[in-house]
Amino acid sequence: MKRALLAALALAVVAVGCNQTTSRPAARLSGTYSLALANDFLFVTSADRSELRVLDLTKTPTDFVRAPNPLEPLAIPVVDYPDAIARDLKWGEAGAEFVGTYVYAWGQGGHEISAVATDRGLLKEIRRINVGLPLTAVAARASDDGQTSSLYVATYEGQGAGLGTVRRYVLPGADALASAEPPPPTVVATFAGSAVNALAVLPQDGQIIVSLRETPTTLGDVLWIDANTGATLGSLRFPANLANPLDCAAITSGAQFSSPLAGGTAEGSRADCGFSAPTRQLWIDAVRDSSDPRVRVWGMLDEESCGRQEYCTGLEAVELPLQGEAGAPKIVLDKLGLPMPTLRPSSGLLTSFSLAPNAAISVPGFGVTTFPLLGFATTGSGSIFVFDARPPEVFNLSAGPNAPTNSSQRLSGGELSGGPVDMFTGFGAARNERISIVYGGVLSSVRAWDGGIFPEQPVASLLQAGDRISFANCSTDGTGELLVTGSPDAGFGASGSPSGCDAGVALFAFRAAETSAQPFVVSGSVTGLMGRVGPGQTFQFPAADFNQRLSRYFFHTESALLAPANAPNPDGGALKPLPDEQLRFELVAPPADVQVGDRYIIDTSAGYQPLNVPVDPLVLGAYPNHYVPTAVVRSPTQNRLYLAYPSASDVLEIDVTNYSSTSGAYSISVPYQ
Amino acid sequence: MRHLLCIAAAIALATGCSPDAVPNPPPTDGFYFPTGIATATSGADAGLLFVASSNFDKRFDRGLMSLVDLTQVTSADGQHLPPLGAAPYGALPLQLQNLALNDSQTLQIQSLAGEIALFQTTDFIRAFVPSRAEGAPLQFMDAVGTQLVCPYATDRAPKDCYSNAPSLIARENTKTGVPRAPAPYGVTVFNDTADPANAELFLTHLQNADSPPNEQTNYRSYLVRSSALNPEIIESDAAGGSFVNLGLGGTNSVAVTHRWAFVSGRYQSDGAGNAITELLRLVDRQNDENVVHPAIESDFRSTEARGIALTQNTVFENSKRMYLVGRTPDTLLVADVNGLLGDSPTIKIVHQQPLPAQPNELRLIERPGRRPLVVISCTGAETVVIYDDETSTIVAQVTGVGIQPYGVAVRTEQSTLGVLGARIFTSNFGDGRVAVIDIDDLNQPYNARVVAHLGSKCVTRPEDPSCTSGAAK
Repeated sequence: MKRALLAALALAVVAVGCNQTTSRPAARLSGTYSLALANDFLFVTSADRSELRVLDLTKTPTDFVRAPNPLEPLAIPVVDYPDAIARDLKWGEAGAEFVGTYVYAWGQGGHEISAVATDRGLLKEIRRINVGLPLTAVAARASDDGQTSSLYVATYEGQGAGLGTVRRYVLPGADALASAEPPPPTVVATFAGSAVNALAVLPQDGQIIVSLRETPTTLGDVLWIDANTGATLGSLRFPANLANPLDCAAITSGAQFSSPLAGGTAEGSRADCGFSAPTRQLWIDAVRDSSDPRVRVWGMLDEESCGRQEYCTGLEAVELPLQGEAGAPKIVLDKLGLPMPTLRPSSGLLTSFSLAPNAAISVPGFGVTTFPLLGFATTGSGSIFVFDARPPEVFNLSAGPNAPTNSSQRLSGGELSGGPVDMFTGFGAARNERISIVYGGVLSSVRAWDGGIFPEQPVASLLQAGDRISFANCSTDGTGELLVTGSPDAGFGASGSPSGCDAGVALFAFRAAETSAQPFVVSGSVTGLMGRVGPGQTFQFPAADFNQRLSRYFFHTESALLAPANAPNPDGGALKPLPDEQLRFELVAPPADVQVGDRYIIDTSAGYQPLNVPVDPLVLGAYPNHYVPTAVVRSPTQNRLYLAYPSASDVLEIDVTNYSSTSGAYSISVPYQ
Repeated sequence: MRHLLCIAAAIALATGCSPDAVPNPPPTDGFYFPTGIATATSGADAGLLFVASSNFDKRFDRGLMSLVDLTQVTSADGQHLPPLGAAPYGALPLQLQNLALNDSQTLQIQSLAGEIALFQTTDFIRAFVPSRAEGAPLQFMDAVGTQLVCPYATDRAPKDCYSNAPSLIARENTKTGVPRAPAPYGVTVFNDTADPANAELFLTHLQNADSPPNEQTNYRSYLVRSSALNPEIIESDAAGGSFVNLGLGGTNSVAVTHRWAFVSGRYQSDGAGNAITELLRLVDRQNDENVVHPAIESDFRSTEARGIALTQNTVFENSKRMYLVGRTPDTLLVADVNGLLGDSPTIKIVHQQPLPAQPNELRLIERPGRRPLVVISCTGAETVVIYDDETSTIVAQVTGVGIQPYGVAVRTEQSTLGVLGARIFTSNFGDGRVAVIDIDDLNQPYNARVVAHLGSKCVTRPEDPSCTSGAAK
């Protein structure tokens, strides 16, 4: 009996042992905020455990690098709460990316950086570097001979207006660094009143990109700097060829279309400017070919800088001039030869992005296609947004917008006769939204009376004498209203002052006068205030001049289908112009008994369906909490996409060439946990 | 047998009628699984600290509210809490175990206390603290000087501040069972006028209410409103009642503006196994029926939300910044809020900041003319994080705080350096102490450090080796 038991036990041990050769031990990841591809390895943060784990991408299937005890995954203890990893980058002849001796683990607000060796035989923290101040950004450039690593660290000191500083450490190889303190850093540049919120190194040794956040304004430049001299080589937001480079802020925000060029009467436009807003994450595209040799700097725009309006939301690329080439950095042109529109997912706050050269992906309905440079971005809504990065373009899977529909609402109930006819929406400019055309409608949000009415744009340009100033909590002689006096040129005033206000503070809004020639106010649930219109008039809301800002285009429709009449046509086919208008309609007069607040409604659709990487719901059912990926990288050899999910404390591996129309998703491996 | 039953009933009645006779009262010389914490400046130079001991494991019969006079706390060798700016850098935190609490500085409350909100008048500072245990009471007590008085306690049981407290589940045994607010937790007092009679109290609760009770159907949660000066719970969700029906989905904390109450949302099941989370709901204070659902999940998905704060209120201000703690993934969400004077405010998430494990409560340190610092307790990581909203970065991760920092209180004051600084207090749920964190200069928040611990961890963790060995407690 005893022997039989022993034999059974031995068999069980063998069986378990056999299973272990094919199963992957859990690494007990916790806090998977960041990923870093370093040659054959994928480093992942386990922030809550203050360690890095490493996936070996040369293994099939991919597996964790094992510890000296091969039953356990290797853990690399690093600084407290590392939520970011910087790579020691260098580039090959054609711009292919390699990682040198180290990756650097660090955490926001921490004062220390762990230099972790990437050599397969080492894979450990070589030295911890104490910067002595809170870190805000880190980047590193490996020397071309691989002997040293230039580690750029940005810190922020809060005295006075605040001071951002970039320092450079030059670190020797792993053996030397392990045995001795590195030389002290040199200060590359300081930025009074600004914090550095992103850093990137360029293939040109000693050159870096510094993204700044001005405080307290939250504006900020993106600078191209020679770290050897500290000299600024250019701005990626305000290139110097405009007479007033800062006019780029107005142009890229859509406040104006053009600005005089330096030294002449010609006008500069969007094509002469760079990023439309400060950036918060950078990526260098150094892939070169004979037709496109310039290095591009990709930036994730900082939504903080403008309250997440469109011009500070999304991804843009700016191209640097070649060495010795005249000119300034400027926004990258798309296939149409137009300044690229800002690339945006259909929803969600962007959380990260990366680019991958020679990447294949299965596009639903089109099969597997290889692209010179694909972009992947993760979002707060959980979607993974895929775009073509060379030239920059979204993959719009929609065939186009649906025809707009209209309806009406009377406050007293029932329908309103008349209303919009001959409706047109511009593909590439129209949004998924509800547009209201309100009789005697509100032109502004409610605000407090501060001694005058002082309308701001765009209300000021729409206001007319006779419009109503409607108070929420004042009697104003029993009417609750005053009238607008004056004109845009002479300035606006009011027919009196508010009186009898509750709590002593007057709250008011402007309303279009029913007696005006344009008593209807047009506004979109996404676009916002669009204008006003009267019976028998044609309402036109521009998509913007295609040679200028292009501000209202949120994507350029497929280049083979649409292009401006005078744009270059790379394909030689018939091209149609981009639409000039986002919305157009004619308004048929309402009935005589129309009341203030009665409205016509137009529902428009964008026809915008960007390519996302759907994550298989069956997999998510088995492995819950995959809400928001915060990092994405693609393996260069396996067409696999790796996504970090701190909400699930794991990493998902997705085969983006293996799309199943049955499940409507790509193939996913068991999560790396 | 009958005699025995009668005797047992008599004992039970006697116990019920005489709360002073609690056989196992909570310790009054320390904090026991502290949760809620709040600080006020009145009455003492170094300030007053309100701390709720939650009695989480119910080792004792009740929880405790303690009013600590910070000028009086001392270490074993007689050291006091140094003024802000005076604590040396690099020194170990002072262990101020002697809380100097006399009998008039503690009151018994129900177990499982939640947040604390303060309401200050010229005569007293009123502290509100709800408890999740039996009866779900809303307890309030007044600090007059350094004395803590329970306004509704009886002469026979002046230390009992739970028995006569208004219950938030009084309708539990009715046919519909609603409105009621089981597991009350979050509390805020708001007043943007000079008249204390206008101060309003807002309460949240962690568990949804079902109707009929215990049938696990028709789940809903409520925001509870009342007067802070005359707290009275009117058990109705119709006009004039205290309960505002928010629909399905739990609540956690509340922040308030002139017109709107912002309610953060906890994860709840709908009874059919479906997870329901609404990270944020807005209640129109002028019209309870106008509950706005901004659906910020479409911008950033999270399992649930915890602490919430808005930038300092200015009367009739139309725009604010909102800060919301998200759990799983552990994140600080920063949003621009506009249209607060209108009928439908807009909320745009503009930043998401990863946080250390299990963030819970947050408080703002306002800086004149600048965006605030945001202080967040990260319970699982045992750190307190300071986020600078001007640079959108974490500027300090304060370690050495203690075990499971939970509640947060802050006070801004001139430091001995002659500049504006801040003192942060966190209730360490896991070790029964309060950590004191100083920022000597608000321009240098990265220099934040733990300068002292108040109380002894041996109250909550008597099994700790340093307690059992008789070493330094």
